Amino acid sequence: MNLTIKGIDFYYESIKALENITFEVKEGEVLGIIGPNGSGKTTLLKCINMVLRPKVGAILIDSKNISEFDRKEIAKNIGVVPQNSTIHFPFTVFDIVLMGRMPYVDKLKGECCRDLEITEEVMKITNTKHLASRPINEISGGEKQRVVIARALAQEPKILLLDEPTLHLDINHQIEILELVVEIAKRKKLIVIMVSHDLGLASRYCDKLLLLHEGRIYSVGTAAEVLTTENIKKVYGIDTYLIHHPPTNSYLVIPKAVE
Amino acid sequence: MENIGTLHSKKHLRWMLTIIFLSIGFILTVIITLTAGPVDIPMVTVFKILLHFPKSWPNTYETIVMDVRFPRVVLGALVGSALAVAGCAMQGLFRNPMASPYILGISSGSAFGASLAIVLGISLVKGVFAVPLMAFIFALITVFLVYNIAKVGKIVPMETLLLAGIAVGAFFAAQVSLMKYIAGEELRSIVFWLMGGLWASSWDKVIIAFPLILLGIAVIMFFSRELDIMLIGEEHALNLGINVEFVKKVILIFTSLVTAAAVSVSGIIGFVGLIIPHIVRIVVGPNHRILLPSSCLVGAMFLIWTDTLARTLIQPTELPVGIITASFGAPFFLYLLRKRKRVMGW
Repeated sequence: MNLTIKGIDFYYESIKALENITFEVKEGEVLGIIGPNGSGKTTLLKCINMVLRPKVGAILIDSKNISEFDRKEIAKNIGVVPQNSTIHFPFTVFDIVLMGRMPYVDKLKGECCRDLEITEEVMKITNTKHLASRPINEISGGEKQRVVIARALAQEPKILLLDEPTLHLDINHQIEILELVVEIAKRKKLIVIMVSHDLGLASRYCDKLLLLHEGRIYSVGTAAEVLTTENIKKVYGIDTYLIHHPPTNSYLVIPKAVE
Repeated sequence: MENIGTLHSKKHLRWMLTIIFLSIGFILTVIITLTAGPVDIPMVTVFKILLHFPKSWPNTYETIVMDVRFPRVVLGALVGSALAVAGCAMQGLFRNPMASPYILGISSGSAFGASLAIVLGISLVKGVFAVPLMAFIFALITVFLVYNIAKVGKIVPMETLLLAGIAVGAFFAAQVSLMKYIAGEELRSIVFWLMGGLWASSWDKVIIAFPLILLGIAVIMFFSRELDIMLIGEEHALNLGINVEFVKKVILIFTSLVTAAAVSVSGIIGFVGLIIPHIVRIVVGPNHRILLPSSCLVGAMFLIWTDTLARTLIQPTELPVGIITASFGAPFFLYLLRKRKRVMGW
């Protein structure tokens, strides 16, 4: 299975946010979208999910254009872990994960065995089953993120989109979440696309990086190809030291002081 | 660790028990309140009259129960459940604890319609339905205006809707004030209508309000799962495959229908639509599949009881029920609020 983004342009009113975005992701692959604030990362994610509809270009899942899908069909193909997953209401963790079955549930019959089986399975994978009857607003940030990932997986998607999945998490939870995401991508042969601010973590966990600059793709490829001091200088506008840590394939980007 | 299937069945069992418990409470409420009034009618007799047993009681008893008290209790149940369900749906949709069935300005709009009929005698029909019909029509006009003002392309942003509701409501409130100012003799009627009450209940009103309220509540309940997810956020709802704008539109139309029906037969009864959903949410949780039917039953019981107090406390006359709903409901709500604020979510 392939996801192909073909020449999309997106405008907010008359302001161009994305221009001629073209790339391809294969199953089992984790793509990291990086770039400074306002470069169009989240906009791109929302276009892939058809929450925003690009005027030009197409998004194809195996040559099927998803702009012809209705929301329910999109939800069966694409699971999303949104940036701000704060949930104030005391739904139980189980209730939240079960919501992932929404695109499949027959409203008159209610959830059936299969819905419960899949809910159980994704809760096991994400290690959230022991939290099942806890209210979502009373668990920790890392746990909550795992629950939202479980909900996205309950949609049985082919594609998983994550917007800053490690934002506001401590390093232990950052690692835990990203290890989980990579493992799921490989095991379930999902296409994973995640937006990240953290260049170190993105380089470590993504198979490919896509660097956005003012709504255009500035560079795409492996971490070694994309994370160069020249690229970073051009896109982020700062000079940096770049340190590679081969055992984890992480790139540590250290900004130089601004003169 | 508990099995997910077990957890699911337990949840459903809990929901079923809640509904059975509330239904029993509701039936008892109806029977007990039918006995109360200037004439004390024993509960057994009420029961026999309702079930058409062979006659063994004075004719007046049957008239009092069947033609005076019963339609009033039924109308109270309808209005109470309509307001509670509409309030619950609005709070979910707006994700705002201050939301009530009147959030889109329905109260002021319908009050204007009613006062047109009361003061200027303008209405499409004559007789007892002159005022209710005008209230109903203007309630729907208000919502139609608010919705179309707030609409941007195909999308209706909830914040804009809220503000449009406040502004249109304020406009109609001013017109109501104008009506009051020029009302003269009829001022008392307007004020009474504005306070809301069930004293003018009749089977005719029940027959008109019943299908509208039943239909509205049924449609709203059909969208329980969508309301749950939209409570978490519109973006979540889109991601989970919900056609958010369509659901919003349906919920707005049917809550408005239900509220307009309730207001047109009882005037503006406050508090029920705002507080009952909160009280029920504290007890049964945020899940609309249990929250809506529970609110429906609790709203019905609450209004029947408060109306019974309203008509019996200072016999032979009666108090406006709105005074009772807030005087008794508010302290109870505050007690729950202090005790279980944690589970409220907002």
